Amino acid sequence: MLELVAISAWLFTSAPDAGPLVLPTVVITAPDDGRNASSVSRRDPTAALAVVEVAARRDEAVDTAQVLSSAPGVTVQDSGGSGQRKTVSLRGLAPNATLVLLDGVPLAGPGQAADLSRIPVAALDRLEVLRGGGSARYGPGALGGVVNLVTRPPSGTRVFGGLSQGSFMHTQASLGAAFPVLGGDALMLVSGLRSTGDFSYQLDELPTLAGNALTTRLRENNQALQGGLLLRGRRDLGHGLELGVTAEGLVDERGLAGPILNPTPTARQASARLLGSTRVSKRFESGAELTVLGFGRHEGVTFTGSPFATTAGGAPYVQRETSAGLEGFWTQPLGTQHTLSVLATVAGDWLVEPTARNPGWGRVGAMVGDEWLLFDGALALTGSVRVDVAGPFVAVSPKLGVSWLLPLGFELKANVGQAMRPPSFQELYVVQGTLLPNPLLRPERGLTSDVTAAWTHAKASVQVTGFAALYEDLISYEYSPPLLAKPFNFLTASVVGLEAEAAATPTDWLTASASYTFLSTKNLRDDARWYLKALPFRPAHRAVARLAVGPKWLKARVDGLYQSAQSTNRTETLFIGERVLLNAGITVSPLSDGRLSLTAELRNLLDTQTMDVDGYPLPPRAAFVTVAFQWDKR
Amino acid sequence: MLRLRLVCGAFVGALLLTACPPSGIVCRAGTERCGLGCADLAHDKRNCGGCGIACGVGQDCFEVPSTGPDAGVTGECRCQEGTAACGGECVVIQSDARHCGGCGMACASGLVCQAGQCAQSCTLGVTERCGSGCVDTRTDVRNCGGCGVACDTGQSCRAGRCTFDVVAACLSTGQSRGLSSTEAAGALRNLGNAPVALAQAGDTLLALDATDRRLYQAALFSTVPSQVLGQHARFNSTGAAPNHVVVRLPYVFVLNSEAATLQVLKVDAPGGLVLDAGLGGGLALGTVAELAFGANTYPEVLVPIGANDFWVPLYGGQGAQADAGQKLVRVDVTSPEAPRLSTEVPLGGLPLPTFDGGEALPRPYAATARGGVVYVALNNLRPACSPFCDVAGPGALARYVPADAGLSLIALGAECLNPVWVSAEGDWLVVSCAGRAEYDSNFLATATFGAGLALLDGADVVRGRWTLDCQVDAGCVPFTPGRLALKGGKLYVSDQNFGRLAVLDVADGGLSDGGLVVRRGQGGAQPALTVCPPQSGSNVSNVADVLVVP
Repeated sequence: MLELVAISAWLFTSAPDAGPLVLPTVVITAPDDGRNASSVSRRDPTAALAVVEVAARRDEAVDTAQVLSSAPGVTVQDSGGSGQRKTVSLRGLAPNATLVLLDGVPLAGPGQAADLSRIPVAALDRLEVLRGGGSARYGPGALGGVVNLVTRPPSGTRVFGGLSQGSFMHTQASLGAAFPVLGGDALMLVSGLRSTGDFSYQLDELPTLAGNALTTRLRENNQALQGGLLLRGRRDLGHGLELGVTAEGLVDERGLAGPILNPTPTARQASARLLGSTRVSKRFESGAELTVLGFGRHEGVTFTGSPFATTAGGAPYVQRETSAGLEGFWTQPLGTQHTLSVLATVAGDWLVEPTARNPGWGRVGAMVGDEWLLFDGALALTGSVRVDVAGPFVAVSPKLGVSWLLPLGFELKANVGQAMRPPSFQELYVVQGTLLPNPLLRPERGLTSDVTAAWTHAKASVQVTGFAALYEDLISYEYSPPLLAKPFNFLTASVVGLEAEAAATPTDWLTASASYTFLSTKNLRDDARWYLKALPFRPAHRAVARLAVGPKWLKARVDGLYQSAQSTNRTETLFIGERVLLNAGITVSPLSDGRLSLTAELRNLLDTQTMDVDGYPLPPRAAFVTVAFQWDKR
Repeated sequence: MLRLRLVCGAFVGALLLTACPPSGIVCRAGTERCGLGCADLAHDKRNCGGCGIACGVGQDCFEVPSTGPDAGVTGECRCQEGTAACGGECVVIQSDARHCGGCGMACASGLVCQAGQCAQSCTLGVTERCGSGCVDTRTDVRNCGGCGVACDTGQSCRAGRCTFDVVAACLSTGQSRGLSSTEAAGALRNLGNAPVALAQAGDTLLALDATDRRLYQAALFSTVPSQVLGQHARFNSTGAAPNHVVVRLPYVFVLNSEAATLQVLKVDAPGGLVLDAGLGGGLALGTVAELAFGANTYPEVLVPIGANDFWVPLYGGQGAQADAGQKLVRVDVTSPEAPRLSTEVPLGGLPLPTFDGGEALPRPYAATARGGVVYVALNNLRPACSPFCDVAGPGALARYVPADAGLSLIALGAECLNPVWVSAEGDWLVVSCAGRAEYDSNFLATATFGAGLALLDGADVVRGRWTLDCQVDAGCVPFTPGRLALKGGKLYVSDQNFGRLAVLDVADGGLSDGGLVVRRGQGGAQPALTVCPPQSGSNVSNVADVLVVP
């Protein structure tokens, strides 16, 4: 079951960013080192926001989805295994209703879900999770919220890297450097991942018969191979001008193991992504600031050996997706109390696919907002309206927000607004295996609201958010005979819930954090048999807790996740059971400056057998060893 | 301040332009909201043409064109079959003392009306007195099982209980529809979420649900007419994508296609369902055995031969996983609670006819048995699918003789593409050919080629055909034949495209030479019956199965 691969590495220096856990915070107070140029808190100051610092997990063999899953309001759908597809949903919406950005650049086409397994965690600095409708500030697609993946900043002179090895021939490595160049700063990072993914799992071959013995099977064709490159540069051009350039690329190949009942041992996916952006910021003496972002993304995906992933002529199924756009964001202080913000964007998305439907859209959007500060800035009122035209769809997304800083570290926030998600190209036009398109789909729309109360102290923080939303025209796939499914707008749904998170570092040797999400969804428009039932794939309870104990040179930690059962269809006749996943690890930093760390960890300690995505088993107990280092020029 | 007002004003204006989403119960196709539920206003005697409009004595609810903006159908109360309109009433002149033998021909006080004659008392052995009329409460739909117990529209009265003669399963809408032997349609009833296969087990209707993974039960006979086809609360779980059910009481055999298992249920099995008083009838079924066929085999149907054998065609997965199927296997059920796989007959080596000599897979999809011989319908498709697997050549039947392991191919010709069902009656075989289709953006077939029925005689020679080809823009909505039900001189053909049911007459209670006479359907005197109306916005409706109640 366990396959622990010993590492021969012994290595290097320290990892100062692998120190005490940095916890989700309500207000970002990070130094202005350029990281905030695309930050969510800047774009939407009153939003319910969680920030997960990736640096705190550098010494673990984790991926982006695992790091993200510690945030409240987040549910990860996992196809099982390193490098296998992982998507994120926020506040009970489907994964395709979460807008996932990489430094402000959309990682997927309009209305599409982003695959987080294809974002090397080594490239990331932090994850910003804006929960609740975000279309008023981010445009179409942000119906459930926004996840902004912020890459490592180019600053200082340093070399850093890490190597993890463990069960299922898992190898994860990264090597990066930041250095001054051409009068500015640059960062270069290469990363790689390899996993055979051939874990064993328990299969009930006779599912309707009680008491029969389970069969142990090996997950075949579950391997993944990834290589990634991140280049970032930043230069102060003088006169308040700053230039930032990012180029990111990834090539990967993975087996598509398929559902356990009918696996697909020959199906494979190979893909490549190239993403580039240029950001120019200008700060004016008046306090105004203009940021112009130009971006482009191109991805190609090839499926082979898959049941339906061939064209009628038997050729491999190839999709190519291209997006490009330009966005300008201007903020203008008006006196001491007002800050006017204006955004204008123009973009295009194109998909080339084997049926030659080859859809393409233009997108234009404009937003105007005002932030009004009262009581010496303690009370901030924000209002904004955004209008977008995305292909054939028009969206109006208004939002009002308020934040109130109270004495003793307390803060209140509230938001109300409207958001939308256009149907994706795939939902509208493209046949995907057994999933048919529907060109008559309407956009999904949501009316969202939330209230947050937070308390922040030097050694602890607590944040509780209550939210409620009404959604209209939710798109769901319906069985379409024979053996096929097709999307329809048929649902109106309500989602109410609670998100709570708390963190404490009472001493240098103890850090604790926890988050809990309660979610109640109701189908408000359907046949009487299914009316008021819960939406599928929305677990009602989800809790994550983490405890780290020990001096700086020796940290032991344990973290766990509880997730309640979830239905897999709207009739509530099929369920994925509840799960408890426990992980434990110990990190040794042998050098006094902490530049080198050695970590051993066990994941899924209880060897919980569970699955996601209705038939994709998750890995059993596994062991990993990680070495991380960082050398700084001081 | 002005700016703030502008922004806030724009926000409020935008919010006002939006509206709260609509909510509430949405009725399934063919039904309208009535109170807290949904009613089939075109066929429901209690809500005929409108909520709460009940038909009178001797009346049924008949479907008529709607005059509303939807241009759909609605219902109208009219005299039912076997009644006559007398002075604004629908009366049975055989048993109504006020109109005994004819309108206005009243019997004298104290006399009863028996067989249209006034009499002192009900003297015929099969009748009993209801008011001043003599009726057979075993068969009279107006007095079924008791005086004044009127069966619902489309129901017949058998042994004093109301039932339907034919039941259709509406896969796309989660409904069922009952019909009489004269094709009078009953009201649509809810049945699971996606009923895919039906079977009768005594007084109970069994319905496999493709997406709920459940074996549902409903009342097939009842002394309470409104309870016929009413779904019981109890159910048994099945494997993924159950596709076929065979009843051999006390056992019920369920074939789970995606789970690739044969599930054996038994009445009164330990740990099975417990019947609660007050929840109506039904079977206390529990699973007692399950047999795995293996991953990617996709077993499709169960073909009983004798008491101890089932033959099962294995369709196979898609792409490279197709090789797991393309077989016919025998399941030995000598001990039903310990079924076991025995003979395996590969079908991949059969010389399949193709249009261009390209690759073809047999794709065994359905089967039946006649005279101890197994006949397997072969789709004969291309290996690649995107998403539909294209037809590689003319449809064919594999003929397998278990006694001598003889395997041969029966060509069905280019008029029969993609055969999806085969039924046997007497010496005859009827093959349902789904054809090759073209689809619109809703994946409603807009044209079909090679669709219809093929009729084979005892020598396996095609003796007759019903051709259902439909060209684009020809003004027809293609009828895509699916499962068949053949009984008592009638052949019922389900439509997988637009929710219809065709009815063909079979001469003299058996199939004569080429003697398929279309009564309802393309080329017939009347159009096919729309038994499963498509859901608005979808347009596709699949009549997944048809059950003829013996």
